[in-house]
Amino acid sequence: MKLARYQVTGFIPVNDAPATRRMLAATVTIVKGEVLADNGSGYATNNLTAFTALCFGVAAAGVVGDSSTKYVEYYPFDTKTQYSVPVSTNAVLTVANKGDICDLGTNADDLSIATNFTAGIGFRIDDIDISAAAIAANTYGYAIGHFQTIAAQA
Amino acid sequence: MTRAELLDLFTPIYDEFAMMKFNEPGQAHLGAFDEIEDPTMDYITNSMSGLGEWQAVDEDSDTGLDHFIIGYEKTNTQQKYRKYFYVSYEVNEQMEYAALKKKMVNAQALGSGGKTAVLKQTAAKLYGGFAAACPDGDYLWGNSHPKNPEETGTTYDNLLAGAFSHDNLELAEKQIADNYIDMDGDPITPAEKPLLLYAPALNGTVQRVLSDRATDRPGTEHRDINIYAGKYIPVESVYLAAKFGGSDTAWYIIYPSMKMLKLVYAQKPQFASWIDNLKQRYYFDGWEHFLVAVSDWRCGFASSGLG
Repeated sequence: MKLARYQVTGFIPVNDAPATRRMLAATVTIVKGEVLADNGSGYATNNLTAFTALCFGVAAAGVVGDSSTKYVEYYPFDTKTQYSVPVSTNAVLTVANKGDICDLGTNADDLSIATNFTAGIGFRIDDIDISAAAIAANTYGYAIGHFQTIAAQA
Repeated sequence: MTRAELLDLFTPIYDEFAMMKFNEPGQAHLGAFDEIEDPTMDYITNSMSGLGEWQAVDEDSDTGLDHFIIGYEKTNTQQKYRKYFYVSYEVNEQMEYAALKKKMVNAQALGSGGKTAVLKQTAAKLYGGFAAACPDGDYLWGNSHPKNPEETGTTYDNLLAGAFSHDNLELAEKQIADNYIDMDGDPITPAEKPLLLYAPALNGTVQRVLSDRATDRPGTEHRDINIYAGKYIPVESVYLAAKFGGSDTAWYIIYPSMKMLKLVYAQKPQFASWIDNLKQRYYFDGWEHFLVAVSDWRCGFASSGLG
């Protein structure tokens, strides 16, 4: 799938996005497209390098949080919404990566294809964009996929 | 000012004073700027993308969603400019100072200085653009303007190279074609003749390159038609010259219809006069508030003429 935009960071929806919800932001600067998690105190934070059970969605807009008055709007995780995201580690995407369930990369706004989860929250790659334009914008290309939560296979 | 301060002006040994204020300076390069009035203190600019080229999508698919991207915010603050003077009652009342009464009480004479301030500040925005950042953080005339704040991995270059010449204009047009691209990655194709701004030192070169029968290229031997004849609107402005802080070698290709170079008046030149009966003075005052802003590098392209 050839993407129309090549954002430097973030998970950006490429099909009909879910209605947003909002949550008070912790004292962090949240950028559109970052995966958010509960910081344990009921505030949204972006301080992530891996998915955890506390993750709940993707920031739909940026906000400078103050832990008291600033809300972040986010897309709650669902399997229907497809996002594009730049791959930060550790190789150029290939067709073999389709179907993998991957973890966050160096930050909450990119993807690592080093792992292939079998359980928990992950980003399942539906398609890839490794066109010349995609590689020019991001060395390892762009994954297109959806968030999925898998219970441990019996 | 008292009689003593103005003594030289009225000493009988002079038969005439040449007044060093002439007509209001011409518009020159102001055609490159979009002149508007906005009475607020700050003028805040930004850009917004479109949706770009429509995508190919599959049947029974909801892909094709896109979002508008907001550009780079820039807050520009109004600056006040002013000149005033006064003369004492005596200067006005005594007949030997009739020359002063005739000339100096004309407060409108201040006005040309107001236009000079505008011309200098607007010119400074152009020639200063080689070393001053525009809203995206790159120099106004820079080689790494991000496509937009989200797609910073793609950059564009509006810094042209070389002295103004037929060859370099040809290279410039190729560079413009490759880099005059909007926030969605689509080419910008303004339906206008761009302005070609330059300092007087380049006038001969510019006129020769743009003439019907170019003197350097194409060759005059066969009287070849010059493809650049009539393609640009040459605008010579003394305020762009090195003499006034600018550059004698730089040249600028500006697209006024983009309206990205702004001349914003919070208050156009105002004039007032009043009498101070305590000090016994006549006052004459002129002032204005304006700012010069660049909302986006896509206002045009420029070369310093050096490299």
